[in-house]
Amino acid sequence: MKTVEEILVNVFNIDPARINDAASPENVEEWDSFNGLLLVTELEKEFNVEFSIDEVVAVRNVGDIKETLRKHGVDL
Amino acid sequence: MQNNISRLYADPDASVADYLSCTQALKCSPREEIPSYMQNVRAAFLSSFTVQGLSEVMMTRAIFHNVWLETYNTPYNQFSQEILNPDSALYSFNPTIAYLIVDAKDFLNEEHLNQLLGVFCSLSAAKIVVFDFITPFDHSFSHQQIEVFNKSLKNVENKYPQMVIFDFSSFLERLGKEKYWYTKYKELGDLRLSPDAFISLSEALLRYAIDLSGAAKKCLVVDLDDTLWEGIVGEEGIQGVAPRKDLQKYLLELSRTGVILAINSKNNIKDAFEVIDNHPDMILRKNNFAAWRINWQDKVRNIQELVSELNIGSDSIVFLDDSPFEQDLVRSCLPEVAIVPIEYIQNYSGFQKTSITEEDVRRTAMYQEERQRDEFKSSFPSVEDYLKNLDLKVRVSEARQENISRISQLTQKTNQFNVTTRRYTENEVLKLLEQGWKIMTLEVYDRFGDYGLTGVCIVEILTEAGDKIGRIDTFLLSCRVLGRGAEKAFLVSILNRLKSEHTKKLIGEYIPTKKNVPCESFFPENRFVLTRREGDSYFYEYDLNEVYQMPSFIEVL
Repeated sequence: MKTVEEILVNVFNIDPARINDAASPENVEEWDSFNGLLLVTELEKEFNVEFSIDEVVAVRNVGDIKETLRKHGVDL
Repeated sequence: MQNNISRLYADPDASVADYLSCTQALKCSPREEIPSYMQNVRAAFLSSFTVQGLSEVMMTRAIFHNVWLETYNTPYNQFSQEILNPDSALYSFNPTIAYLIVDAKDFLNEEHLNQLLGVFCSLSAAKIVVFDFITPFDHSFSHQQIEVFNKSLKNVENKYPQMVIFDFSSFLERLGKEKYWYTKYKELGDLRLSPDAFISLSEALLRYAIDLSGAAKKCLVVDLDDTLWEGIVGEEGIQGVAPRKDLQKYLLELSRTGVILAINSKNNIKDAFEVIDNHPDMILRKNNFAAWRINWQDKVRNIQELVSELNIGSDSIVFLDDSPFEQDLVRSCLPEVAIVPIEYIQNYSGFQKTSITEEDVRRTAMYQEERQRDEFKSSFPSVEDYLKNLDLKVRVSEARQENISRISQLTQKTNQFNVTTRRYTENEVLKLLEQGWKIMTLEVYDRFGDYGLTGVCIVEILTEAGDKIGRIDTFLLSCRVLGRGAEKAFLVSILNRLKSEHTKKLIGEYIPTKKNVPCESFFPENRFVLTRREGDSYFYEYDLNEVYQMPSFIEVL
């Protein structure tokens, strides 16, 4: 099982050191709208969950992603 | 790079993100590093909605097919303007192929489409692949209306030879329309097709690019055991194998479209043809194969020989083999050969699919008529290099209580690499140990995994004129670990061990059977000297004062 961090590194193709809970589209330039959607598909596949449109829109940073995954019962 | 992409192709869990990171690396690679067998194709994507990511996935996927794809995407929903304007970036890109992807909702009318295609075909010689229309979920168009649109598309197709319709609707039905078409990604980023579909879609779309690039494959080289049939004929005999009929039917269809079939198998040629000629469930028979290499040499060399015999390029070969070891060996030494996993072969797009001529159908027969059995002397040092990278590790140990049943089982089951084919029950193995015989076991590991206990050597210790000598009663290896030097490492470990115990001489015995041809020359190849023949047996001797080097690429644990 991949971690959230590993998935982010893979999707954005960036140095793992740049990833923390505050990482967001504002401070990670690789996090554009397309990569953001790709991230959704990867997270859904890896953790076997399905996000609603509202959930996707509400996410602002990595911390929010983890929060949302926990709401879906994912043990991080 | 091509090796990584080939592994990505074979990985059912590979994601779009994995492809995109490959694409980024590809885009940075200098032109002079592109291998000369790569065929260049310039592909333009003209779409009425966002297909961001598709062209990138395709670029990486194309490398697997020996196609270097340069891509151009029209800006968001500007496909009409770009087509109609002769000075647009589309035409200065100068595509060799264009994909027109229009959602029914963005479709104006038949006349508009007619106009677009007419202008495109007058301004560009590129092949244009037009997606057919999809019935929307929201009933904004009825199924009947969509059928009318698709029918008019067919009328236009007849007018322009460079146009071809891609049956996108059938593609989506097969993949799962609900799962991929107009999902939440439509709301989130106008990705009307979910990115998860890009990998399969790429494969389907590449068919057209491959066709016009000249990179299409001409020949399928297949393995036999556990590929064309289930089971290992050398071990289980003709009754023990079950031909894979569905796979063989598909291969037969391919050969009827002009694809050459050839065999590359580690087997005794007699065993192999016994199945091919006589097994009642075989679909493919001898006359369906243009050439074969059924022997015990490495499969890279076999492919090289097949290439010379058939007079085709190694870049036009697809290789089908169940063994990850063989797949990776060929992948590393011959990156231009396409390694397609057996479960994907029916979706593989790379074969030549042109109109079938009389000659295509006769091609296999022609090759058979022309076959010459030249001796090929060239050697391929890269196989050695490959073995060096395999991280092969062996562990040789004295038999332990918990291994007795496995040791007995191997003596019962192993037929091919087994010098004397002596069978022992568990009790008999125990008895030999009590009598002071040495029983050694071999475990093999490489970067594909742990093959476990796969070799057994039984040595009787005797005294001859006051000297301690050894007699190899049994030496066997499971065929799963053959062909990578493990047998040699096993032997060397045993030689060293006996030497440290002051043994002066080692006697080897070879008893030929119908099945153990693979170890026929094992003793002479390892510096044993033939001393006598007795009945069926050949006896060899090895003077333990001689130093024997371990193969350098094997690590002994």
